[in-house]
Amino acid sequence: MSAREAIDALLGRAALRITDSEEYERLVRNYPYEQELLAQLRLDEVRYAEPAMVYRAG
Amino acid sequence: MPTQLPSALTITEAAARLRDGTLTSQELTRALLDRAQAAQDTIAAFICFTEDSALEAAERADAELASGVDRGPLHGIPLAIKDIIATRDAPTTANSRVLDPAWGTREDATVVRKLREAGAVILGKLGLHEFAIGWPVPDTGFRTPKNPWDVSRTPGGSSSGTAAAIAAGLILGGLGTDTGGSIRGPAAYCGISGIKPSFGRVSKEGCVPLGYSLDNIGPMARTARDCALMLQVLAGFDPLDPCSVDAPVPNMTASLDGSFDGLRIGVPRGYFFDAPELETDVRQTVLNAIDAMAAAGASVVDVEIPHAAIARNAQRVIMFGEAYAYHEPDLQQRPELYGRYTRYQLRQGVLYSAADYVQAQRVRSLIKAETHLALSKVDVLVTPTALTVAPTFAGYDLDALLRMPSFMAIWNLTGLPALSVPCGFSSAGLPAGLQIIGKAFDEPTVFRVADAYQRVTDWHTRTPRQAAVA
Repeated sequence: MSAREAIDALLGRAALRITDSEEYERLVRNYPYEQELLAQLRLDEVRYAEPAMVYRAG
Repeated sequence: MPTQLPSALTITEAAARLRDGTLTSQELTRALLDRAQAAQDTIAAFICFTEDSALEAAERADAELASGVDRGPLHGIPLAIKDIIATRDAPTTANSRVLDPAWGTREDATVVRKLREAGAVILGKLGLHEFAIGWPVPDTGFRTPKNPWDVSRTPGGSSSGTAAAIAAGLILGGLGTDTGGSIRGPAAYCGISGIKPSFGRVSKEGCVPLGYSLDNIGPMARTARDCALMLQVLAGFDPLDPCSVDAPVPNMTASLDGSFDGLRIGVPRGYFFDAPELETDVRQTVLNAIDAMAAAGASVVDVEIPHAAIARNAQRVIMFGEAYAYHEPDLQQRPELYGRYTRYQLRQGVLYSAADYVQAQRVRSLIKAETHLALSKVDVLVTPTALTVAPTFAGYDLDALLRMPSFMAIWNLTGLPALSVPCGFSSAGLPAGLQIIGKAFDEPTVFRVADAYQRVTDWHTRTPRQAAVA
């Protein structure tokens, strides 16, 4: 899937409309870099780590 | 008297003068209101003034002090509030056409109520970046606060109005909010002090959220001591804020003795000092500050935070995910009402999945553990606050911003207290900031280090050319 197709799918699912072409193109342009940043979070060190979220019953 | 008001007056100095009879709260309030209103065409720090209620509060403070009723160091002191925090005497806009006007018609936020109970005089509501994110653009209809050191430059954001007003001598202190550096960045760019407290230390009730698990309200002022005086009033458990922590509030000023004896300063040199984007001038001022602390008696210890570089990634995913959840209906139904940079920033939340969000929270656990280990060997950590001095408004580049490291976001991720104080100037005469990070809920040690540093340096006493605010 290309960056453009991915952005279109994400915007469609979220029911967001973008009329400003500059904003849309910026999302498309930066999508690969955003994916790199997300990939960096998939660390071996946190494969079995607990997330930093705590809930109390009641 | 008001004509002799120094531009670098601190809360501590003003409190003394209110009690020795050389100044009244009414004189101080009137002088600062006049100065601030005159600076709207240049600095544009305020969104609105609450002149009537301020003058009433000043009159009440003078009467109480004269009759022996002393509410503490903020009694009669003029402050102002970032306009994303509710006040009973003025609407709250979040610098946006999107926020429902009815949102602001309510009682004071907990922090504002506490300030008023301590006798503070609230002069008005301060400008900010829309919804504490984005970048100022004319299409939101609000004025853009300017940096008093150079009005072609940003005061930073998102607490732009608070920092600009303090630097220009328009208020003695104010409230900011900080989700990724929005108190500390503007403090660094404007040459003032500002602290993001430990997460949960200060109630967020009555504040429009940005990132629920990252947001903090905190004080900004000219000195670390003044920030400590304000935090003493602001801190404490609030059942109205689900993130509030029921922990004892220590005396924030008891250890401000000016001594570095026994203090261990941790320096995480990797990432925080070797990022290519870190300006040489800023780096050098921070290294000079570390040398000054060592010369004054502190021990300097190198420490490591191995995954510091990806803290920014995790903070972004969490912040934009949480912000998007809040803004989704408005982004779907009336996106045109947002400023274009705010809209773009908030829309980035659609790029992340639920699994990405949880993964970011797992990385958060890892980085919390790493910082806990680093702080187990020292009392505080020090880093540069920002990569650069204040950039020009014309230099804003969203694509570049996405790729920039951050030395501040990691402390929102870990929830630790982090204070920025001025530590020198670039060759162009613009202020740089030193960031001091403490253990969770140990703000007193952070203040101790900052106050001791400010006793051996005078960066915090420098003020912009008055031409900028005349």
